[in-house]
Amino acid sequence: MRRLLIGRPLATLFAMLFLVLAMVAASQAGAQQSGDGVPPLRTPPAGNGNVYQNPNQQTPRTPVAPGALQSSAEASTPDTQVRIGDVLFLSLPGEDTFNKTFQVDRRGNLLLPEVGLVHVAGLNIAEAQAKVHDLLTRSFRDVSRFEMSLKERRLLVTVLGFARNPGPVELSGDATVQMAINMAGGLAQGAQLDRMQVRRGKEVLTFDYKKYLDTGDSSLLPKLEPLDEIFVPASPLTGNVQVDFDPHTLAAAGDAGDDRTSVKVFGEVNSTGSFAYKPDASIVEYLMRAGGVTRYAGTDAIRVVTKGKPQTFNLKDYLDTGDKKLLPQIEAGTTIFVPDKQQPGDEAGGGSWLKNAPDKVVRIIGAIKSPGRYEWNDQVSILDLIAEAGGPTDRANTSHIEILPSSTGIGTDTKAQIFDLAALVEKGGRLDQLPKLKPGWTINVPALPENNPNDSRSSWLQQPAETSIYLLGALRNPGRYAFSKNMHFLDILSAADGPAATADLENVRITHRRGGNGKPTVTKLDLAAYFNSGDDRLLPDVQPGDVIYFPDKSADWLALGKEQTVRVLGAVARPGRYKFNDSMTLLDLLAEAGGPTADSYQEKIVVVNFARGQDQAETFNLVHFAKTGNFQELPVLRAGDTVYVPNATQSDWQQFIGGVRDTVSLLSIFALLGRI
Amino acid sequence: MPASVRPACLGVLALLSLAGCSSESWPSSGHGGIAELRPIPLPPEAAALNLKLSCYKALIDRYKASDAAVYANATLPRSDDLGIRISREIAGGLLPDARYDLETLKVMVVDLMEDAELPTDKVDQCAVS
Repeated sequence: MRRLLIGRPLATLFAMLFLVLAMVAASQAGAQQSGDGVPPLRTPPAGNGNVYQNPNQQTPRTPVAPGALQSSAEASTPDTQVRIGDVLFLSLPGEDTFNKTFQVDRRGNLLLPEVGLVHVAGLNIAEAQAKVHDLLTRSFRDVSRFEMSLKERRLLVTVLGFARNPGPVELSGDATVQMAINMAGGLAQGAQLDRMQVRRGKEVLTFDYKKYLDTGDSSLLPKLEPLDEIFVPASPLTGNVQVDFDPHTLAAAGDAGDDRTSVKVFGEVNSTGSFAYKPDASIVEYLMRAGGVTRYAGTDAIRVVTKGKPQTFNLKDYLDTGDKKLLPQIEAGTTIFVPDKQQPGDEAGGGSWLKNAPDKVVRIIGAIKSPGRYEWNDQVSILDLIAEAGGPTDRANTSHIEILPSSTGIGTDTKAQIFDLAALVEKGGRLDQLPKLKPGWTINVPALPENNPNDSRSSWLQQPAETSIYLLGALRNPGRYAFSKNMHFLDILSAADGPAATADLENVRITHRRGGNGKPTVTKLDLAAYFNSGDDRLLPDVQPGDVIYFPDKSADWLALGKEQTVRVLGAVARPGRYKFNDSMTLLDLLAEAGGPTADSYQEKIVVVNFARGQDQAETFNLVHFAKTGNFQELPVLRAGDTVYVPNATQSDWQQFIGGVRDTVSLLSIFALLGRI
Repeated sequence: MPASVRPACLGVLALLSLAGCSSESWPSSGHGGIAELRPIPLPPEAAALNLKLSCYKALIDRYKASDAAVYANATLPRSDDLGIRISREIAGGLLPDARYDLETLKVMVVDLMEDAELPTDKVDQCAVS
């Protein structure tokens, strides 16, 4: 080429012009070719990189940040320092493996063909080009036209913590923290916004991302550099256990990220919690962030503790006047407590029950929702007192409320009273007939025992005997049960889970321990007849203290009276006493007794009637009945009678034959004597 | 056998045979054990009691025919059972017991009449009959 230039200057000039044009064309073609070697990039809408994006908006993750090409317009000069992530264009005409872009990896190296890794991070472009040039001369013959330029600036950073897809991301050179978070899928629920970090080596930069979102001030965000780590911390409200939580619930518990500086709001507010301190926020704002006060809040004495100094804030006065001077100063770490209105039972002392003397209060204890001491005056009835105490609990025995006079002699009546609130509620009554209370007295609302006394003996023992009824014998759950005058026989029978399968329902006994004239009386109940007829008049009136006894069917036969049974004697399979009713006949009885035996005298079955006038006996010929089927031959049989089935030896014929046998024997004896 | 012994033997034989006949006899056959379904002819006195019983039973049937029967009244099954008992007692000759039970039945019928708000004078008419 040099000879050509020297020998033919004009031709050489044209040739050079042509060559330059060709090289320019080739260079453009090479540039186009090298562009194809760059990883595919997504081009966002114009200007998208400078527009605020919702950090929670999840975007598809791509290897290169949107807007990378457009925003990497940093001028490439020989003094430009090569950084990790930079995309360099290496031009070496005539070599297919060059003339394209190469990216500086996270270690600061370029991976070049035939050369290998070349550390270029930290060098400027000129230095890097010289370093690469020297290395290329070892593998290539002519590298005089080798050039290096900065094609694009990119950031290789890592997003960690509460991001949706934490990990390394690649951004354009001028990307911000928000773009990095977006590349990591956005923030996860529970991320703490105001204390995010950028870690650069050992340096940690903490920034308030929430404030940036509020203001749009990009200066609040640290400028990213290669290999930075963006750490998104978790809010303390997420706790130490990894669970899926409801963001609404999370927000309701406050938004504070620092316990030391947060403002704690609790008491009678709808959502107690710790809230991030804001210098310009008033107590009203914190109360609003806590969901407002409840209907039970004592708004006239809200307690505020700021820097260890308590003070009281009257919200009601502030709302009435609008005077901002009434607002207390809220500092970081302030505690706000909204008390409730005066506690039930706390009326006696306006906060301290010790302030009221016992002779000015009435105590209410037991199965009441808010037991305690209540201030007393003559205008308050016992119903008012029970209502003020929240009313009886579900297990209260309201039919037996005990009113206990004071033991200190306050009041004249020292006898305990029983107040039947259940009867008053059910049947009504006059309020002026309510028991009169006096200061110093005590009201005890007893609790009912458990349904099954066998399961809770301890509570069962607490039940007073005068309100108990006793169920004994063949019942599913016999025992002592609470009972009131308003209850019915079937109520208490149901409480015992009903009679057992072996219960003799026809012979239930009820002992009225306080019967007529105060003496015990016994009532017999045919419960089977009640079940057959449904006649409520059969059921006796039972009172507390009564004893209900269900005998067993297999009870000793002595328990049955002679008027209730028929005696079957003689030659039957199962002689004995059998229950008998007026709808049955002798045939039913014989069948129940197993029938006559084989040696029975079935022609003369005797029935003895126990009658009022004159007892009588009749016979029944079972054999003849079987042959004729005449039911009119059946004798009358009632409970209390006796049936006798004789043995075959007692028949007339057998009696006659026996007589003949004896006679023949005697005659034989006489004949022998005559011969002698 | 010597001739002198024969009359003695015959005497012993006769005595023994008669001894069998002299043993206590069995009671007579009974009847009326299911008289409410299988009535039997009655003597006049028993027939009068049976007439009274029929009168009470008619009143009980009248009670059953009224709407009152749908209401629970344990007296009704008891009166039915007692009617059966009285029928048997009348047929079986147990007249004193039948008279006593008829008085009990009368009280029951009055209870039923009052329960059904029916006139009770019919009961008295039965008692007179």
